[in-house]
Amino acid sequence: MLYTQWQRVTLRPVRDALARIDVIDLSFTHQTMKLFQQSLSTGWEFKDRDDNTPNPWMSVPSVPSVVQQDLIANKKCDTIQTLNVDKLIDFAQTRRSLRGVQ
Amino acid sequence: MGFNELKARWVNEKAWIYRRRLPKLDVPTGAAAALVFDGLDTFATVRLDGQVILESTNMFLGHRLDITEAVKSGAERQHMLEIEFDCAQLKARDLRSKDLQHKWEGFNGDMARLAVRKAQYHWGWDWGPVLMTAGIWREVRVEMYSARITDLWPQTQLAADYRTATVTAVADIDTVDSRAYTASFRLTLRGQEIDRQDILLDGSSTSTATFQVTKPELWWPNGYGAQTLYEVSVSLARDGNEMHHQASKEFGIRSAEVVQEADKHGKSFYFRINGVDIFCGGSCWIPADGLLPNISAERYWKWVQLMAEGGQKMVRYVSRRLGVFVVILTLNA
Repeated sequence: MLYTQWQRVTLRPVRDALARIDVIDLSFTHQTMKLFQQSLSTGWEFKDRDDNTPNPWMSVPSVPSVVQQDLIANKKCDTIQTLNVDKLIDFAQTRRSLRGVQ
Repeated sequence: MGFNELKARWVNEKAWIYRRRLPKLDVPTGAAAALVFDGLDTFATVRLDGQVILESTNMFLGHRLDITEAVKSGAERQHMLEIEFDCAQLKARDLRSKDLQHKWEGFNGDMARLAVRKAQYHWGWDWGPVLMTAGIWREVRVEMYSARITDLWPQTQLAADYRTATVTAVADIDTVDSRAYTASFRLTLRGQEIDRQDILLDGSSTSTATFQVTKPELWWPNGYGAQTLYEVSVSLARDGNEMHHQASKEFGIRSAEVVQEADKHGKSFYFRINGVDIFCGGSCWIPADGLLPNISAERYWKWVQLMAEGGQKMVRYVSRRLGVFVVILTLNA
């Protein structure tokens, strides 16, 4: 899979060069490589380290993440409202209205 | 407004394991394979096929691990990557108990937090709940390359009369093979090339290009003028035709001074940009979410846009990891 991508980025200049020159240094294809990057954002699973039950692994929707997000996604934890400014504003307005302040 | 964080406190006391298989990597001769972590939160032990390849104890550091030999051996199979995150709450208390001479003083949360290079508000702050996060909190990726640009750093020197500027672009380069590479630097403004320089690397790991800019368009703080940005880019090629890696950075040309002079109140503290004294109107930034990966770059940008539309010029970013509150950014609307 990755090999194909590598071929795409490095072999094309060689293929183009074949049309132009007679002497071909094939070692070129093995000794140079454009920067290849692949994010490992998917395919992760996680578990409580000390959970020794038969199937403790849960899937991780995407990385980057922290464990609370992954637990929420697996319904092992309720959604946590953290520093949600919209909610804070609602909260402040509720308190104001309780005190009879506009 | 709920208090579900109280129901989530059990999470703070646990250790977690994350794992996945690495994609199959066929590393060509003359190339290297690297496993790159931009950030792990926090006490992380990384294993590849059961072998420990990294032990990290600082959430704020990235790591680059050479896995060329590891993936070449047993190239026919997929390698298992596993990361164990130990319990930071317990590790902090353990570290604190080992240094009884130290005075563990501060406010907000358990002072054992001072022993750990992890966001201190995870132990609770006046504006936030106790949420001891753990996980791969920044990007992780695999890379393969023969040569790459590891850093590009533009520096500017504006003349006292503001009529000329010198732009120095420094690129750090990591090459796997000993072949000669050429670094091609370009300086552009609004996509128009101002100048370019090709520099033969000659085995050096640093390459520097210097450009002269006449009548530079200056960058001004929000409300004082345009936020003109120049761009410097560098691309790495070998044999003049094959581009290996390219990097670019935007930057403004301006002078900046902190003015501290004796006055009737004692000593002044204000900023002077391009010779003009700036009103330091702004705000203090706190984390926009207790679970940081919830915040996308787009959401950050929207916050900054709100500040700019509100006429702000500065943000004080509270860097609690060092215990100092010093970083001041000037808004770029």
